[in-house]
Amino acid sequence: MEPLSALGVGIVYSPSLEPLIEGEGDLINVLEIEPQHYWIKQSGHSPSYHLDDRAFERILHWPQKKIVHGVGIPVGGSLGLDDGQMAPFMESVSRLHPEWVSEHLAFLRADSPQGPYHTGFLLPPLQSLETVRMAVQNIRQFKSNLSVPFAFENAPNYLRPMPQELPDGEFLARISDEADCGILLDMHNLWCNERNGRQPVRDVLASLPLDRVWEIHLAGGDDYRGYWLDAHSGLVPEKLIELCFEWFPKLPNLKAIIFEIIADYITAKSIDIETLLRQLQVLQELWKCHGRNAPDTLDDKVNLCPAREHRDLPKPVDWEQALGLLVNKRPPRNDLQVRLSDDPGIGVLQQLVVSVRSGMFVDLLTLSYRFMVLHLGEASVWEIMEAYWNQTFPDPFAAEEARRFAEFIRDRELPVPHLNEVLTYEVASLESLKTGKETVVDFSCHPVTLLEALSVGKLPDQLPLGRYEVVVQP
Amino acid sequence: MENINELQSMKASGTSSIVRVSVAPSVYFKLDAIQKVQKDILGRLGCLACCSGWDIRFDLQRQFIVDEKLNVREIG
Repeated sequence: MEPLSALGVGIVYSPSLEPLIEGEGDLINVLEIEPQHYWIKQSGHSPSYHLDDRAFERILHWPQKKIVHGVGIPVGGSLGLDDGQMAPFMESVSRLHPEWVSEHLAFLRADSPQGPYHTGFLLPPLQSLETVRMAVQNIRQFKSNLSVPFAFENAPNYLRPMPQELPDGEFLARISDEADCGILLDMHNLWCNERNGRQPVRDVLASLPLDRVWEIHLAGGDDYRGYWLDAHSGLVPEKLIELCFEWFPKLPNLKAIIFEIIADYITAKSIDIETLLRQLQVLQELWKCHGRNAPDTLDDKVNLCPAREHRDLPKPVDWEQALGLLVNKRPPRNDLQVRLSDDPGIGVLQQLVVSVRSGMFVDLLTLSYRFMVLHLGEASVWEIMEAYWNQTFPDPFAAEEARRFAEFIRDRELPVPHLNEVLTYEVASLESLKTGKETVVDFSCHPVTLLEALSVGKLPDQLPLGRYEVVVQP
Repeated sequence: MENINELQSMKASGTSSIVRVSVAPSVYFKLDAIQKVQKDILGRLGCLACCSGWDIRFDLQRQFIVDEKLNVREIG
């Protein structure tokens, strides 16, 4: 394999973070792109996904090198790789020319009698030898499609370790060794796992083939009911930074350090640009120290003894079905699901799924949400949202989820005059943006008056009635 | 509001009493008056369920509703 280029420090790209990239170009050497965010899904079409050219053009405008980090084809599931996403993923790779590609060691789909469904959040696989074999097979398949190297990322795991599961570090080591691939080591995920009762970070690191660590993720988190969440919500904890200064000199093949932060938190927590600047400067200091103390040879590889599969561990498919149902608040149906439902970590995962589903609603059907709350009250609207979630599994693509939810709301015939018109307008707006085509929406009231009021979060004082057509232009 | 001022009224179509109004969808994404943030459409239609962060968009949205006297108040 050709040696990878050393890229330096970067961030996960988001359009909202462009002011940071623009202002701090010297401190941001590389952009990590999560391509699925910039795809358009068209249900019923073939192919189902196409790349949003506007987004890719904008990403390519930036001079920094790119690396691609998939968020929709995780390699830890028994259903294998999502075939429908491989073609757009490869096209994304060909446009972005990354040095390497990575994906999550997690699963995002589970099977059911009605067929596979999306779980709504990246979920931790069972740490068994059978999962190791499965993940290795998935990674080999992924690699066979790529002309650049592949790395997997360790996921946060809010669940208690199962008796007889492989320890966290050994699980990662076995997969990287047998798949002959790199590791995108998310240090904040390890940090969360230790704080939440799983293997200590130092023990995980001591188990890993450190020469396979090509990339590091660092982020900030938040407390939720006693759990430390990988929330991507702020600065990297100081003690984690200290740990990184201790261990990064031992990483001979580290090529990038990526800071993860969700842009909404920068606003919500009033994190100023100076603070972000200082964070990036610290990461640049970390970058400078990497590999200094790495052994000259690879003789210090971790020795993996042959392991024996424990018969009491569930099968990966049963694990996935259990987690998939429980995190979507379906009642447990068998012994494994009952046992897992006792784990408080399930509640954390349920809340993560809810946060994403509710976030999609208010982000893409903003005016409809406000209209409903102003008429019906928060509690009633939350009940409607829960009813929708109880009837459907998530669609990971925001526009599709919004469209389906809009249909659900319309079918309920709520006592909110003109709600259907606002819903139709918002869905039409999404469609128009996806397709580039004009759509027409009928209104039986003055649309500007209504939409303007909702845009500032209030009901209109007076609403003239009439026959209107709103032409939604892309 | 700036974005709504961009709406253009067109002539009533033919002899019908229907009034046509043209709206660019990116307009309503452009500025969220409540959150005072620039909402960029790019990346919002795609796969947002797959990242591992904690999504706070709902929490941010529910925080503010303007009452009849134009006072911004928390609703929960």
